[in-house]
Amino acid sequence: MSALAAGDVAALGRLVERHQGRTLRLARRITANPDVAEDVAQEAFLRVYRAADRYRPSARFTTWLHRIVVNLCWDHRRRWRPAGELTAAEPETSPTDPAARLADSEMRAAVRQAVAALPPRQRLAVVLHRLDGRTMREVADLTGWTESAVESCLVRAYRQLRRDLAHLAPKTGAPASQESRR
Amino acid sequence: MSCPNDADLIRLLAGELDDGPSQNIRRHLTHCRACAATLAELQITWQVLAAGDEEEVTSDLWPAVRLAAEREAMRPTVWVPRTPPALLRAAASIAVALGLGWLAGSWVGQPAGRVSQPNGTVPEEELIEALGLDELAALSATGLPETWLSTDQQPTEDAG
Repeated sequence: MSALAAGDVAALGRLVERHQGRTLRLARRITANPDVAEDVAQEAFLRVYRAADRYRPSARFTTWLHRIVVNLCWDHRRRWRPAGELTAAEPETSPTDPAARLADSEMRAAVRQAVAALPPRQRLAVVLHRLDGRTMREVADLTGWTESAVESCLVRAYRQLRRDLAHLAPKTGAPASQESRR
Repeated sequence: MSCPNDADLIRLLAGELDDGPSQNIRRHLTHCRACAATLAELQITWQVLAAGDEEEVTSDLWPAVRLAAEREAMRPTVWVPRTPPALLRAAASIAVALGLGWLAGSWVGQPAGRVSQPNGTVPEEELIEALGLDELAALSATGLPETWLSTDQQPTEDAG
């Protein structure tokens, strides 16, 4: 960051190379729109470049960067892909069996549609909490909302998703007893 | 322990609870079927949601970011004055208002060619003229202006 603050554009290149994958993925998770996600990620790095001389390492660099990304995504929330545009199955890579691939693809589309149908605040909270693996406190830190606001958003969001995704529940087996992120 | 709320169950699923609260909820779940059922539903949602995640992204942002950064670096910096604090703006407004008031006062109070008395007062005749009082005549004993009485409408002695 100190090299970047001195105007070294190559230092920005190293930062972009190191953080672009996570940044772009975060923006895509939130917006569900690859074009908007790319715009947001580029703008986030430019903002880092512009503010490099004012950066004080009170928080981790990635926290600062991701806060910029979340803010930019929120500003672009009218361009988030709506639920209606997420019904088509998207190309998959994991299962080789065509039937499994189709089922996987349909499930993915259904999940994305359910998440996209949530109100923007709930959608952002769920994406950050469940998909990006943040704790409620971290979600509050990234969004600037209070932790209780995040908690309330998540409770409502998961309640809605429980209803919307009930048909996707596996037919066999009880749920696992251990909690985990994945 | 009373039934945990949904937020506690979500925290339990996400592994956000400390050991103590986590153990308490687990103990509660062993004998509360309603809470166990809620957790089971939440857990299914939790697992299904992971299926909707985005895949790894491999785009290279650097060419576009570099272009924009270099373009920005070449742009001449324009000095933009910062907005002064509210108190300073208020003080400046008052100073300007007072200054304008003083200027207006001195301009109105000093007509061209005026000759002030040595003690700073304005001569009575000049003041009467400035106020247009010289147009008015002193009232006569009848209460009518003497100028009116001296016109043609004035009754003459030989009229009767």
